[in-house]
Amino acid sequence: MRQLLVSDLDAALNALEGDRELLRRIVDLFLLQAPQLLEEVRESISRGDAPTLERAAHKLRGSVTNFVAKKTYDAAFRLESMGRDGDLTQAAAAQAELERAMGELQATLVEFSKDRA
Amino acid sequence: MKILIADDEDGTRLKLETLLAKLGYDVLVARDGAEAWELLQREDAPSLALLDWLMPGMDGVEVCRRVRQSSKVPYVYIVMLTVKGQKQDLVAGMEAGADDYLSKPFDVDELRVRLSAGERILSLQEDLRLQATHDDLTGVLNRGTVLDILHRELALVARKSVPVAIILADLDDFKQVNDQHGHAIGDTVLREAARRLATPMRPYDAIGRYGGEEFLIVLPGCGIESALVVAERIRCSVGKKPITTSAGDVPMTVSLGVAAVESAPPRGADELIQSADDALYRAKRGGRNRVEQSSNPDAPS
Repeated sequence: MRQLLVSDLDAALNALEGDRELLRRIVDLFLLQAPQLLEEVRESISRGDAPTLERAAHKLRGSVTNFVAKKTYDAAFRLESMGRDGDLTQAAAAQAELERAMGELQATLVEFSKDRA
Repeated sequence: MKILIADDEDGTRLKLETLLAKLGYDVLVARDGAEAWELLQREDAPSLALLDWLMPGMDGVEVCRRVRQSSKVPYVYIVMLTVKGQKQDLVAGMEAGADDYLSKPFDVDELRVRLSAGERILSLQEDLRLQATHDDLTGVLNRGTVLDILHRELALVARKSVPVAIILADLDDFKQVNDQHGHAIGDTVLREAARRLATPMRPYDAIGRYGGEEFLIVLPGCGIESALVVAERIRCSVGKKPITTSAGDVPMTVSLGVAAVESAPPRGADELIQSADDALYRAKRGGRNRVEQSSNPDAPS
């Protein structure tokens, strides 16, 4: 169950009609871009730039929809809402949560990506 | 069928591109709204578009609004892509003229059914457009549409100094066909005559049913000389052999009046049609099955 919260890759695969190769390509693309996506979130929070945070968190949230990654999705959504409301007082806690969730997600996806069998 | 996808997020783009290609679509890809808008304005633009709501620069809703403002023909069916939890945005998107929306994450079945609903709407829309612009009986343009085209071409004469010619074509003694064989046979003859009238025309010429058995032909870029050549071809095309009907062969010929505008200041549509009509009258009086031209190509006769 804990694993499911990180990412449900079976569900992700089903949504792609079981196209494992396509999922792998999307995963590889995401792993390549994840550091940059996360960095944009971090930077906007440290600058107190709410509109940029909204956009960056939204983009991150959009890109993890492909992996049915609930924890990352929820954390990004919280930050996106804060950005939209222009209230970043709780952003540090939400950011910590996003970083943790992203770490787990990336680890899971790296495993999947390595498993070329 | 061509489809446009616009999303700034690489993973989603890759997913859509691959799935849509598998479903048999011809996929065009844009990375942002400006690129999408550019592709949608092209002559051979796709009539299905999947637009992401949030994109840097011009967002999906803005692209949607612009497409609707341009009242593009044929219709573009627009599906907005959103991430869950954007209800207000969704409402704004639909109000900007989107036809449907799809929430990420979506699966391939959802994508397939939404798009086939879109294709259904597009084909109904196209049927309606054809019905509204064409003559039921003969299948050529209706009077309103061919007159619109003439007005448009006359505006071009003023702006770009390209000539335009028109031909008024009237079937000879058509009333006798109706009187002798009844309206059903008359309809068959009209349909076949319209087909023969259109045969010698170029793809960008226009023909419309102007009255009962009278047709208006618009020849963009043609001066009086080339229009006379076209008219003569049309005359031969209609009269070369009788029209076969269930009541036997019906001989049919056509009389044609030709007029042209070669330079600015152009004549109005009414005036131009009047001089083609005068020429047509002379063709009728001169024995039918012949071509006459307006006496002075650039002034009312």
